[in-house]
Amino acid sequence: MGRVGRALTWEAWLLIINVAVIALFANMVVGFAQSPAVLNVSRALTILGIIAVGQSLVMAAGGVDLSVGSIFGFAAVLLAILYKLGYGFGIMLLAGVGAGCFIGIINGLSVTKLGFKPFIATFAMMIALRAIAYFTMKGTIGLAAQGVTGTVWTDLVRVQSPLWLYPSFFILLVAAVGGWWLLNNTRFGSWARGTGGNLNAARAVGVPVDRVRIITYVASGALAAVAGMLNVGDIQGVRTFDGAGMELLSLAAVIIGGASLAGGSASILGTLLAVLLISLVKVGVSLMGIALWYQQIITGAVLLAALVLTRLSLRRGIARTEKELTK
Amino acid sequence: MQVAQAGKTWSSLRTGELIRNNASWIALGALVVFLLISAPSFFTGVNFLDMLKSASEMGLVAIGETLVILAGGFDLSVAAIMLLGGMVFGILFMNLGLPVGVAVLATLATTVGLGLANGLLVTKVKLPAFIATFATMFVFTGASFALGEGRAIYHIRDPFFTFLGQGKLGMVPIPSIIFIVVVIIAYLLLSTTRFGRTIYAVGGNENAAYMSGMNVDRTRLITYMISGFLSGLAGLILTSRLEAAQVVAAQVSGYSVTLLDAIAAVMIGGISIFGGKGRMSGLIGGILLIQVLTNGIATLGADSNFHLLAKGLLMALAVGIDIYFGSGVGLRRRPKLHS
Amino acid sequence: MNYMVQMKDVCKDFSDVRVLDCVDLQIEPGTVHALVGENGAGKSTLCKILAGFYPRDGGEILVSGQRVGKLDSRRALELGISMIYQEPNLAPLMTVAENIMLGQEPGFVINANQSFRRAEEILATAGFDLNVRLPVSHLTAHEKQLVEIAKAISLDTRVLIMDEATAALSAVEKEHLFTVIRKLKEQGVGVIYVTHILPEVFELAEWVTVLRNGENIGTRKVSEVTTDEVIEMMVGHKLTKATVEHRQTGMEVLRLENVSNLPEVHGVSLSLFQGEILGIGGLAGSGQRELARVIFGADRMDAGEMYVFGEKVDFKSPSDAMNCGISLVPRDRKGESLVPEMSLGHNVEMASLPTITKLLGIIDPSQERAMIRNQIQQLDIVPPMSGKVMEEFSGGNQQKAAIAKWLATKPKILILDEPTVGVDIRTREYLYGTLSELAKEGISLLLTSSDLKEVLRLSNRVLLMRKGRFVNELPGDPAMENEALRIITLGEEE
Repeated sequence: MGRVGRALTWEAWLLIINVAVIALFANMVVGFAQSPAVLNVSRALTILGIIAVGQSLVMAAGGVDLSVGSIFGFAAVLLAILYKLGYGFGIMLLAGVGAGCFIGIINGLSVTKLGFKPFIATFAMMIALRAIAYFTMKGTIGLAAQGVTGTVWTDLVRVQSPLWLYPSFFILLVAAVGGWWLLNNTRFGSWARGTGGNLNAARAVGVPVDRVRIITYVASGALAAVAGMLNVGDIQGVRTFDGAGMELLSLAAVIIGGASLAGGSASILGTLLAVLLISLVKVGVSLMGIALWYQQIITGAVLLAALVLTRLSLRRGIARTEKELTK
Repeated sequence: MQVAQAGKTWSSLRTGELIRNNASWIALGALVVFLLISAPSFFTGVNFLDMLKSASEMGLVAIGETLVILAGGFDLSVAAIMLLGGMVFGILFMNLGLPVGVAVLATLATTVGLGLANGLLVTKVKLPAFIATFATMFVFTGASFALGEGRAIYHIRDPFFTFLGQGKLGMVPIPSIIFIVVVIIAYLLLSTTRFGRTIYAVGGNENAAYMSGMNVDRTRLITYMISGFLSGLAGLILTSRLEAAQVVAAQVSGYSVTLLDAIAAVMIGGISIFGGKGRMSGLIGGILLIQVLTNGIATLGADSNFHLLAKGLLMALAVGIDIYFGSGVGLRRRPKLHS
Repeated sequence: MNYMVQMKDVCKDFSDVRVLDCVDLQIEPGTVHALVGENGAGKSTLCKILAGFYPRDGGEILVSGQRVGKLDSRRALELGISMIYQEPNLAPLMTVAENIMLGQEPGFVINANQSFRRAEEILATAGFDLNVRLPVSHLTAHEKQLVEIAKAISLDTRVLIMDEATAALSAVEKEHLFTVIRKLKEQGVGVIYVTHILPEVFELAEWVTVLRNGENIGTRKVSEVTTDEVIEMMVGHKLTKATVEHRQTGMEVLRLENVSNLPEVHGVSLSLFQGEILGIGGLAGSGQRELARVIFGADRMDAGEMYVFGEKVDFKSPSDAMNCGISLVPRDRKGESLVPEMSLGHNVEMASLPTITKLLGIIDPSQERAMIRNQIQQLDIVPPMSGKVMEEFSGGNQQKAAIAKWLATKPKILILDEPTVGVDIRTREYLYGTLSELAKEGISLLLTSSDLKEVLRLSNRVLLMRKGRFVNELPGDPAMENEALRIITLGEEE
């Protein structure tokens, strides 16, 4: 059995790239290594990271969730409405996560029972939900944007503390560790990866493939909702187009993180490192004092480069997970 | 032992084709009737001319997108290329003082190059088209900001160039003439040329096309380049019309309006997003429908975000029709187990 | 006799074709029961019904004497029946251990080390030694097979079905597999062993059942039957010896020297002469398709040389081959020949667009019409409506359209890969006539088929392939069918 020898794993490469980018920015960009910048990275990392963890689970099981951005926005809208109506944190949390789960169930059912391809089903949900979010907000509050201040959500995200660890960062850690543990150390994770890796084989040995996939969509929906609500705390407001683009960013992060496009494998660690990279680039570039538009180019270019490299190198079969190197 | 597949019945496939190619016109008819009743002010001459003019830009982009989709690809960056084209022209003409003809040609060459980049990412690097053009969309949008340093370029006036976007031939605005000419060329391309047949074959069954000696990658590459050209042309017309190179794209709920409109027009026009199916006749109906819808929404004073709802619904409907009457590409059948 | 499994009068129809007709099969514990027959005889279908992948349309199945009602794959596993396919049915990105344990994890939380240990235990019980931490994608075909066997054992499989298990194995691996199977026998497991390779039957099995055209021709004790008798049962008539003269043919139009298309084709050499029909016979999966593809430039040639009309060629794509006058009608018409949603006319002209194109890439409508009409008439495609969508035609007519498409290119060398698969008898006869006509006109034909009768009947000469290599050449005479089958089913010892 030939072994790849001393090649580094994909995650190791991502880590190296991240370190390189940090070093580069720390030297070249004024203010990068200081508190506000680090906090910004942390916040971007948190929000995209939470969504990406959910997306990793969905992709591992062979699906894809394009509706996460709209779920994000919808949860934010719910929060704004409840805020306006004077409800407290508990209700907000329940409503948001509940909505996320519910939408996830619908996504899961369209894919498993109705037989739609995940791409199509979640794309339709993405559009429908965005419109619903808008009209719900207009219908109840009457505005397309709403400020939200003084809530617990803000405290979760915008703590003015010398530490660069926010409570929301811990939420990300919990989600990530939970996701990783679920995917790699539980029966459910095996089932999910088996479903993604070979649907027929999994079904044949009795894996409840439908239930497994629905659960991944529920997780993705709930996490996207949480991210959306944290974002409200971050920008202290809600706009109906919040979250647009998050779905593709999360997809890119999971792919760059080393997941298989066809399903069957996803690396939570890799995904997070990819999210970190995206966040670092975003923040670093924004500090360069260059215009917003350059930032957009650079972010886009980095994304593209990362995707290209991922595809090209995976085609040459570089070791993808830690497992391949043991024994 | 293999079994002969019985042919499908006439009725379901024919009906599907008829609906697919004419849905946009039927919907357009319904919409016009609705507007006649609820907003008669819609049907003034000024309004029509206005609509025709702005239909040209979106229409050109939609035609380009159609070619890409017919050949089995997808392009999210078309609107960004349009903007970037306008900005490139602005820089070349205003800031660098190049003669207008040179600037126009250089702009178009640039946008064709952008299309080429998209095409290469999809055919050579084999990135999924959705993701690749999403990333390039970012890059191109940012680039147009960068070139203009965050500001639009104003006072773009030139006898030739301004005529392009604001001139008339008799009663018909030039942009509309350009649009009509492109429509005719596209129609002829698809229905009478070898390249057109190749596009349909590549989009319809990539394998069969390859096994028939067709160059699948090159065909797709060319469609992306044509799309780049048309987006660039649309950008030039827009810039001429506004006498300014725009930097901020019109947006609704976070999505670019032009992109949304173009894709909605393509889909409701009966072009299957899975490739290989669809006709220009349907597309024209789709473009008109979207244009009337957009203007109708404005005339009725409805919320601009209503766009997303209405157009999104149309798109969903279109995909639904496509899947229902088509060969089920969007559905995952119970998989054949190891035949 | 306590049979583990009894299948009585089992029938199966696909559309309007009866694929299995009242088939009986009984499996005794601790035995290997070989299932043989030509392609299309129904062996795989029978096994898949037993393993629960297809529902049966008639008949009974009893397991350990109990009648079984609905049988799906999960139920089959519960009853101790599992099937190992030619293509491994594992999740490639998961480790060996994970694959083995899939579906039978001890609890919600998985301890990786525990998993590894348990998987190693299972492998040890089966007598294998594999690195359980490797992703399955890193294993060889044989190793994947072993994993599947180990997994089946761990699921308490009592009846193991193996379909063409040795197709991808080397001689050493085959021996190892046989040892494993013998060990399973000792443990009382019943093995249904589907194969084409008769020596394996005699080496391994206690019983052999022969299927032909969906019927059980007979079940015999292996110790009481000879190879020739088995072949006779497979083919349906006695051995005859007859000699046929070769027809005169012209110059060499195509020559292959040691051409390889890995991993399916190894070092094939052949010559094709003008006006001849050269048949490539062999069992399904012997590499005929890949040979056709490499000649056509659809696959890259990994080794060897090819000469067309005396000139050395190196095709990088089908269009290169087409420029040399070579055309290929692929076997998978839906996947590789036709665009189902395009019209008949557009499909037919698809490969010959350059010939009807005028200036500026515009297609000449009158030339186009003429060409399409010509082809429809020549092949008698029904209904003769060039605007009708391809999907709406029957299978036979679709195949005719696929062939028409290639005839329109006016090839000098025409390769046909399994041209009559999925085609009704009338169309088949019509096509045979068409092919003969083409040969008479001077076109050289290369015909691959796993239907020995057909290929012997049509061709001047038949080259027989087995596992990607040529084994022998026979004259094109249907009476040679037994001989041909013998040649391709016997092992390397022959």
